[in-house]
Amino acid sequence: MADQPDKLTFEASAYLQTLIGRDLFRSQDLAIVELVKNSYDSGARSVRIVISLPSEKRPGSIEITDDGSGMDLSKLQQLFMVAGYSETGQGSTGGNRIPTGEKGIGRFASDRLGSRLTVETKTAGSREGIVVEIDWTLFNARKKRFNEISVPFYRRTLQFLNKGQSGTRLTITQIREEWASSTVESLRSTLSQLLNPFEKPSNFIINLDVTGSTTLSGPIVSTPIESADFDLRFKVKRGGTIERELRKTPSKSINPRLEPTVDPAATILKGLHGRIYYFLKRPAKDQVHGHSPGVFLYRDGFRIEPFGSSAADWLGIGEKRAKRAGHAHIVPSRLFGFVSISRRKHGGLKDTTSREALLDTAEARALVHLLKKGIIDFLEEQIRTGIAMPRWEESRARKATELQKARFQALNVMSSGVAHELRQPLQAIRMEAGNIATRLRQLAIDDPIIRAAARCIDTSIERIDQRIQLISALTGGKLDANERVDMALIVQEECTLLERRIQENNIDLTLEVPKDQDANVSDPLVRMVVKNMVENAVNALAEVKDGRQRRVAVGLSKKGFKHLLKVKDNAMGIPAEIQPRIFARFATDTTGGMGVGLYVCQLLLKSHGGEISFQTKDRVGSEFTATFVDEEGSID
Amino acid sequence: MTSRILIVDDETIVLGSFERALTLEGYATWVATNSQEALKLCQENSFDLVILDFIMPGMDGLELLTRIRKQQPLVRSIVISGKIDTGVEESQVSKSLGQWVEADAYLHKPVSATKLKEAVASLLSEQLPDDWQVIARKAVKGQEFKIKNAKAASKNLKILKRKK
Repeated sequence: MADQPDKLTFEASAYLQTLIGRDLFRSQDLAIVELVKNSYDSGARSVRIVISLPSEKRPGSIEITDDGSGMDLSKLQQLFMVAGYSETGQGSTGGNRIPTGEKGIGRFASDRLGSRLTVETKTAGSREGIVVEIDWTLFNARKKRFNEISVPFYRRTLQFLNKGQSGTRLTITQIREEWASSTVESLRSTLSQLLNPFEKPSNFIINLDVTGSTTLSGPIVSTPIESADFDLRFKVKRGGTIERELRKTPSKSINPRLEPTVDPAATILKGLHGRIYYFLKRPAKDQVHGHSPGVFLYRDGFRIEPFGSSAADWLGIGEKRAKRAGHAHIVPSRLFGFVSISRRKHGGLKDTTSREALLDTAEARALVHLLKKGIIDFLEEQIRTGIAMPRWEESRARKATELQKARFQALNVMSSGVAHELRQPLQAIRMEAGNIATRLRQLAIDDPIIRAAARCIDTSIERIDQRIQLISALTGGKLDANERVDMALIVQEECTLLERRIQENNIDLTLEVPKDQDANVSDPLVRMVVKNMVENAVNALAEVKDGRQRRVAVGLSKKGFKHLLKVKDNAMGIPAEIQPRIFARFATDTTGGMGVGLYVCQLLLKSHGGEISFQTKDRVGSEFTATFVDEEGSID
Repeated sequence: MTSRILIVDDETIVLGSFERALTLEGYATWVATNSQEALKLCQENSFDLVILDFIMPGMDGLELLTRIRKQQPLVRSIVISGKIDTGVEESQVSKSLGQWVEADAYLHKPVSATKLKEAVASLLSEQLPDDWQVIARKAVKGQEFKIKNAKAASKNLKILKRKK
């Protein structure tokens, strides 16, 4: 029988408190931030910090009072008195909030501020509160064990809480460092940056009061930045897709949305989003509402240190500028960023125990890579490549646009006249071709060659007319003008217009379109693409002679701000030799087939931010997908 | 009885082709290359159907139709044009033109012989109204605003006369 091993156990020296309390927090500001976060986690709606500066008559103190859930004795023992235990780490907290802390050491931060702590706490249900008096200096004894230090507690009626009220007050005395006006101002600045101005946690107010000073006292406010020369918003979606919107003031872009990009490394950052503001000149104070420059990182509305502070330069913007000796386009002091992550979605983005950095994980590396390459470099590129246009250049560009418009108007008038002139002889040719056919029928001459020739004339005229229509639409600028339309209705209407051809070829048409689908797109462009794609499918099916039931399925759906039109046929598929050049001009030489139509559709769709793609299988069929980009919509 | 059709178009080659198409179908056709000729023919003959080009020098097809309807309120009408926006469905053309006058049918150029014949046959097969009110309404269709203005003008004139 094997010997039962003796066991050794770890124990903590009382000095551990000094390590996780006094020595862990770089500054007094950060220690106070930790205590404020604890208040938030307890469900408090308001936190009041009172700093009494030391005077000859009385020593200084710091008082942090909240209206959170408070603690009874068992909770105090379980929550407050056990180092490293955090109820918030279990994911539950007051007020249905996402907890900000999970390390279970925040309360020890008070040791950084002063050597004495009085905790007064009461739950709503109890009549009396509990008062605990802690002398942190007792923990200096290295030879003692952590659990050998005991602190006295009393049950008392708490003056600051009425019956039925709950809350906690921490009073810190024997202040370690002197508080001066400048340190209070620094704390005010730290607290104002604690909350994300764009996603402030609801029902949470912080007041900072300094006894005897009205100028230093008052609520902590964090106002969003409203306008900058560049306003870049982004969001990481499924599969590492990054959606971005770029607005430029004062001449706001008509369509700020940009083509999404995909960064596979960002897949683990799904849900991350943010805003970057950039000023071409150093902004005035009222433009930035007291925000410091930098790209700040927030988790569930609370700032993560030190991201955003000038010393951190976590995205290497300052370093880049220094290396380029002033030739970089992003000047750190004009850049203001607010990046939001969530504890629930981004579990891999964890703080170090000091809360002053993120642990080096794959997620943290992906975050830095995304912001550096996908956002900051992109913004720099936009600034460099002429979105920042000098005023004289803007004026020149406007004149050029006006001239272009005038030219188009002239061209439109001309093309409209030409269209009319061309249609006269076309009308005569078409009608006479019909007349010849009628006369021959009357004369009982039924010749297949003549019949085919008549049909050919008719089809050719139809095609010429389509081109005339297209040229009129192009020169009339109708394809450029987006309007609010019901895409489902357009698809139905265009398919109805082709009903006759569909029936003639015994094709079974299936429409899979929603009842309605609002879109802000170019009406003639949608019609042209629908018509072209369905006609192509019909033409391909007309060539199928093996007796299979010819089928076309037309589908319409919406994905984000994109409208997807799918046309699927069960024809013979696109020959392999044609596939690579299907969007080139004259890809096929068949009448009415994929000649110029698909080429023009692709060209025009691309100029509107969309595209056509296809999948095909030999002898099984093809599916074409046209993507239309909606001018409106939001990436939120 | 053979249906009588008047075709008006300033393009003689188009006019000729339309005339041939309808003659081959057995209709009796008259042609005119301008509005004056057309109105003169309308004074001398009665027609079952008029086919009018939309764009013509001097007077367009819809204005001509208004005048023809004064003489022949029951006449059926087709307006054809190469200028009408082909993006607009034929049945919706009158709306896009402002609805101040309405033809019975609209066709885009270049229209096929089959489509023209179908439109003609369809209109001619329609029963004519025998209610005088319907006929009267059709005769003034598109001119309601003129009648309204005329009523107002005559009322004002009467008031002025009284004041004098």
